[in-house]
Parts: sequence; structure tokens; C-alpha cells
Amino acid sequence: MGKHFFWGSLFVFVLFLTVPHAWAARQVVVYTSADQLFSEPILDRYQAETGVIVKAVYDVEAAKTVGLVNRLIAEKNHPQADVFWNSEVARTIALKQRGLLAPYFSPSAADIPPIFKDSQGFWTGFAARARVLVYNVDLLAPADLPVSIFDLTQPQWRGRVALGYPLLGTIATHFGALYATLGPLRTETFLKGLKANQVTIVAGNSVVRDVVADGEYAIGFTDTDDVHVAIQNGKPVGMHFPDQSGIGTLLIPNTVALIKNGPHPGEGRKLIDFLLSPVVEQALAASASANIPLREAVPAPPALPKLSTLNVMPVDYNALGSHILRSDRFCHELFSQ
Amino acid sequence: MPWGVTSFDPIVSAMSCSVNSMRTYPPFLLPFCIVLFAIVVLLPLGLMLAGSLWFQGLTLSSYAALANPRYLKMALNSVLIAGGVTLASLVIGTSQAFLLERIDGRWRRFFGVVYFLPLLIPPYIHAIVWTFCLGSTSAVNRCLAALFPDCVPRVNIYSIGGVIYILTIAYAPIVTLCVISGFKSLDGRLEEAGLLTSTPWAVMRKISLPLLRPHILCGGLIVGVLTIVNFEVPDLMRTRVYATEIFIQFSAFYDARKATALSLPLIGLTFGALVIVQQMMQKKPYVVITGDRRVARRLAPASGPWRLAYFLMGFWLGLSILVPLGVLLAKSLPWQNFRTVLRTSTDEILFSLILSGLSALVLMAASCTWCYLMERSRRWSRFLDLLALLPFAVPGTVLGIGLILLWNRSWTQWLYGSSLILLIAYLAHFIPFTIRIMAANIKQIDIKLEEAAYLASSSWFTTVRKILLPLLRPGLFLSFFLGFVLCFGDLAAPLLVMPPGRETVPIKIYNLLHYGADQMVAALCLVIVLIIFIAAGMLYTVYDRYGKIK
Repeated sequence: MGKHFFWGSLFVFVLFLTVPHAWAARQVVVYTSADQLFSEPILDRYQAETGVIVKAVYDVEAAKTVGLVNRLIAEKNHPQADVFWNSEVARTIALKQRGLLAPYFSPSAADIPPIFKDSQGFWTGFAARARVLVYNVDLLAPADLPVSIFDLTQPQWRGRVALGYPLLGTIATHFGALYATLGPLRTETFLKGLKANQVTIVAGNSVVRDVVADGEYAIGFTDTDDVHVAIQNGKPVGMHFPDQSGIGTLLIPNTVALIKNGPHPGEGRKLIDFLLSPVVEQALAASASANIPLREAVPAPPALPKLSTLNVMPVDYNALGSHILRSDRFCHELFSQ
Repeated sequence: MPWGVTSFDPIVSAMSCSVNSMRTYPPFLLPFCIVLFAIVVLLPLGLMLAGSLWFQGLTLSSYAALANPRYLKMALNSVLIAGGVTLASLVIGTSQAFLLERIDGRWRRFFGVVYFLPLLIPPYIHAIVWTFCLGSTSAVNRCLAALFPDCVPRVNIYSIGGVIYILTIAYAPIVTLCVISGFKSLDGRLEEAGLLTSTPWAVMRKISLPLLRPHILCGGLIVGVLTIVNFEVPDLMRTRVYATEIFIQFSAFYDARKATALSLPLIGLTFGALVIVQQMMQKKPYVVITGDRRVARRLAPASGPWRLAYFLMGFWLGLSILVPLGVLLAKSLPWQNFRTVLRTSTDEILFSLILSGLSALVLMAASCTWCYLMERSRRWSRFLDLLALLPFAVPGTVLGIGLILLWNRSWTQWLYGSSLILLIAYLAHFIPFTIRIMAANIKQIDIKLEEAAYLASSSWFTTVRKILLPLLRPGLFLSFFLGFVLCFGDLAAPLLVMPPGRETVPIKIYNLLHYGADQMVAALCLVIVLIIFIAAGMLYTVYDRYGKIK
């Protein structure tokens, strides 16, 4: 009896592993680096509305893993994914440069401003986050806040600023954008200034949020979603949009792209149409992620700034993609010393 | 010879070890295992290595980065941390095992049940818990600042010392597990004879520890390797280590060739350490299972200095168990978080449990077969041993990319598209670890037992089933348990080959961490600890009933 039970269980378990997760005539495979908390309900909704099985692979925090971009690159000769939904833009452009994406002009994206779309149709942006400063409200009053990120190289901020590791995620995107907008000389002077002013490098944006919330540092660079989550959790932090009177705050849209030679291109296009619809932007704006809609007409919570009220950094995202490698190399040398 | 023990007598023991073993196993087994090992474990790594040497022709350009002096400092940090964690884990783990197995303290049974709990909490979570307790704004440092306002003696967790402390807490139970497995195989009469003329301390020093050397070194090696490839904890403790550079080459520069090139020194370092360990163990007898044996008794009651040792062990276990579990419990409240976790993560928990259980079973069987061939095939022994050492310190990311390159083909989609690819990933990643465990155990079994059984039955399978496997039970149980824990907590390799629509618990935990859902992370960690604790309890009950060497 015992032996039969053991071998029977083993057989069932092996069967469990070998059978694909779901058999379905209509299915779509999406790789997404967007936080699972926010992306999963949207993909579930699409599945419920259309009956198409959505098979998702989620990334984890950029600082902890090599993530899905490397997987997509390694799978280039035999792609498994149909759609890549990225929570930022630079890595999508890296995939475009490596020839992994197929062009697709979604009709859903017609009313998204051209600055947030690739002119050749390889990617489309939606539901942006902003690079902001998170500050501890017990340590800083609103009047004390720096007007510009460049002020953080001043002596009064010495040893009081936290920054995520600048080669990863939206932090790398931010510095790539500065390279593309200001040029290498000004950007590198700024980065050297930060280093000289004893900026502390921590593991990632969420750690920046946590060390500022704990009062270990007064202020730090992070994204709007991280600060929103902390405020909702009752942490003593505030959010500051820097450079509103200068070069503007960097907006980092989610991006969606069709994978070249993916297994279900038709279903992939339909999923992209759905992800770029106003309904999804509205859902992401209302979520804890609090993404800023790129369409003025999409309703958003009152606490969220409208795109038209923000001074947005006028960055050419494709140029950002070209500069990011140089930015990464410089930061690697500078902050590894 | 009254004891029936050969290991204590160097001459007889040497004879025992040098017996010209007849080849009793089927002739197909050795080539079959080598080919399988090559396909599953070595081929993905070979592809990565070949890729690092080939870019529009044969080139060493990826290896030029190794000359960068910046890496030297990071490598020194890595060696310092790995050395510190290994040393501390060896001292703490071996002492714990000795106290639990040989000293009869009041809390022995309780400590014996809970000592491995820190192993079930991911090292990254340990790090977060301890930054909460000892960070610069923690209550401890605030108290110190209040007590000594002029000269603030801060506890600086963000340091190499902090990394060593946290990783020791996370990994020391591995050494304890390995050494306890060795103690369970020891013939109690060896120590009892020693007690006639010596103190328990001398018996431990002169009899137990020398005979347990394979187990102690095995535990130390596993801890050292796990430490040197870990970059998450040093990263959180703001300490740059060599493994971080490998990760950066992947994540920032998408340069798999350079990442592979940078992995080679790690592999070489580990390989060197293993070769040194093997040299230390050569020409020394470890055979303690010769057929006629007795289960060991406790050597001494916990009185006098042993009571102090018990107190210290209790203090350490309190630090390594109560603090993390207490902090996780405090953070996970209110109770409805547990309901939420169970509602939203049941699929992931079940999937991880089944996958890790099956993988551990395969790891156990594969490593047992490999070690058997390693010990019993005279001509191939050294070759098999070296082959099994090669993939020891390969970072999960390098392995993951290698697996994609090897298995993502049109004719292997039945495997790559299913969860079987995860089983292969775990097998390729962790088999060197379970091989070390089984090798330490199989060394203790006298080949004469098999030879005698073979003469009686003429069937190799019967000999293995009725003689070898029963004697290997402690090692089999340990390799299953450790294989399960390692598979359950692995992140990098599974993430790169995870079939769409599936998710494991570590991926879920890291996702939750990202958006600051501390309560959910804490609740999920506690649920996992509880489930594995119950599973381990059931495993221990099975072991207690069927697993002990009689």
C-alpha cells in the first residue's frame, strides 16, 4: 500500500510538471517587468473579457535579478513571448536596437502624444511614472526642498542624499535622459558632484524610499509609485517634483512592444491594443502605482498631477536609448571607486 | 578485534580502503551517468564558455576585463566574507551538532527540532530584518546614542562584518545538518571506548571530529560557495563584492560573454578550495560503518562547562530564530494578512512545494548514484570527482542563459515549455552540493559489506537495495532536505527559464518586496516557514521510524 501510494503520487507529480500550464486554442504570452500587483489584475481582466488565456512571466525588482530582457535576448532564435510590457522605456529601446521587436502601430495609441511613441512603431508608451525626490517630512519642510536635482551637489546636502544603484532600472534611464538632454559634459559634472557630496548608493528605488522613511537620509531619488506606496502605508515621507522651473521632471512611461517572430502575433497585437486603451491607463492611475495618464481625457485621482500641469523634461527617448550605455559605463567607473 | 571496527586501526583501515573492489555495478551505468551529467549539467555551461570565447572568431576580449584592478578589491571583499562566514559557520555549526547529538541537555530535543529554522528564511529577508534591528536609526543605535551622547558607539550593520553576521545566521544550520548526519552514522562504541580513558571533550577532539571531517568540510564548502555567489545581502549592506560585477554585466550591459568570463575566477577559486579539501582528506580512513555497530549514547550530561555551552547555543539560536521570526510576526499583523497571503499565493506555494520536492528526490537519487560510482569505480573515481566539482560555483544567471541556449529549440519545446525545465535547472544548479553530501556519507561505508552481499546474492540491485541504501539513509535524508531547501529558495535560474503562467514562491516574495508590501512579505515568509517546518517534521518522523541505521 505504502509503496503503491509513493509511486502513484510520484507519477501524478511528474505528470503535473510535464503537462503545459494550460491548453488553449487562443493564448498569448506576455513578459512583463511591471509590478505584478498592478499588472496581474489588468491581464486577468483581459483574459476574463476575451477568453484568451494570458500566460505571463513577471520580473522581480531590477536590482535583484537579470530579468526578462536577458531572457528575451537569449530566446532570440526561438521567441517564447508575444508581447513585452516594460515598466520603463530604456530596456525596450535596447531590445529594438538588438532587432528583437516587430513594428506595430496600434489603433488604440492614436491619441497618445508622439513623444511617447516610437516613430517606427517598435514600441508605444502609456501610463507614466515620474522621477521625483522623496523626502522625510520630519527632517525637511517643503521650504527646504531643492528646486532642482542639481542643487543636491551643494554643501547643505552633503551626506543626506540616497540614490539607487545608477546602472539599473529607472535610475539608469534617468541618467541616460540627462545625457540625451544636457549632453555628457554637464551630466558627468553633475554625477561627479553627487559623488563628491557623499551621496549614498543603496540597492534600489524601494530601498531609497525605505531609508528616507526611516530618517536615515533626508532625501533621495526615486519614482512616483514608490513614494505613493509609502504615503499610503503611512510613512513620514513626501513627494517633490524637481526642476519644474528648469529642465523639467523626467517622465518614464510604461512601454509595450510586439516580439518579432513570437508564437501568437495576432493575439499579441490584440493584447497590445487592450494595454494601450484608456481603460488600462485609468486603472493604473487609480492603483497604488498611481501612474500618470498620457492622455488628458483619461480620468485620474485628484492627487495625481495632470500631464499638462507638469513641466516635463523634453527628452528624445530613442536618443536616451543610445546614450544609456555610455551613462552606465561612466556611472560604473565613478561609483565603483 | 572486539569492536568489528576497522577505521580506528590505521593498518587494517588502509587495507579496507585499498581493497581491489570487483566491479559489481552494471557496465552501462557509468557511461550512462556521464552522458546524462554532461547533457544536463555541463553542456549549458560549455555553451556559455564557448560563447565567451567566440565573437566573430576566437577571441579573449571578454577576458580582458579580468585585468581591471577594481575587481581585485571586490574579489578580496568576497574572499574575506566567504572566509568569515565559512569559519564562523564551521565553529557554530559543528559545536551545535556536537551539543545536540552528544551532550544531554534539558532543551536538547527542542533545540534539535528548531535549529534549522533560519535556513528556511531567505538570506535577503534576514538582511532586511537585521537592518530593521541594527540599522543606523534602529532602537539599539538610538539607545547607544542616548547613553553615550559624546562618543556614539554605533553598531554598523552596513559593513563586511554585518554581511558575515547575517550570512552566518542564514547558513550555519547547513554545517549543523551535515555534521549531525555524520554523527548519526558513527558507531557509538568508538566514542564509548574513548570515554573509558578520556573526557568527553577529548573524545570529541580526538575521535568524533577526525571521523566527521568529511561531513564538516562538506558543510563548510557548501556554505563557502553559497556565500561567494551571494550578492543580494552584500548589496543591501552596501558592500561591493565580486558577484555583483557578474550581475551588473548581465543586467546593465546585457553582456553574457563578459559575465561568463567574470564567473571563471569564482569557479576556479571554488575548484581550488575543493581540491585542497580533497588533499586534506586523502589517505585518511573514514570508514565507520562495517556492519557490526551500535547507536551512540550521549557522552555527558549538560553540567559544568557544558551547561555554559548549552546556554551559548540557546543564545545564538535565540538570535537567529526568535529575532527574525519575531520581527516577521510583528510586521505581518493584523491576522487578515495571512488570509490574504493564502488566498493570493496558494498556487505558488503548492507549485514550489511539488517542484522542489520532486527536484530534491531527483537530486538525491542522481547524487547517490554518482557518488557510488565515484567511490567504487577505481579507474574513474578521480575523473568523476573533478567533473562533479566543475559546476559548483556557477552563478544561477550564467546557468539560466546556458539552459535557454541549450533547450530553447523547436524539437525540445515539450521540455522547455513545461515545468520540467525548472527541474533540470535545479538539478544542474544544485547537484554539486548534494554530491558533496552523499560523498561524505558514502565514504563511511565499508566496501566489504557490499562484496560479501554480492557473493551471497549475485545481484547488484539487491545489494544496493538491501545493504547500501539502508546504510546511506542519513545521507539520503539530508541530501533530500538540503536539496529541497536550496531548490525552494532559488531565484535567478528559475526566473530565466520559468514557463509562462507559472511562478515560484521566491519570485512572489521579491515582487511583494518591490512595492513595499512588508506585511504581505512577512506573512508569506512565516507561512512558508510553517509549511516547511511541518513538512520537515513529517520527514523527520519518517526518518525516525525507517531512516536510522540500526
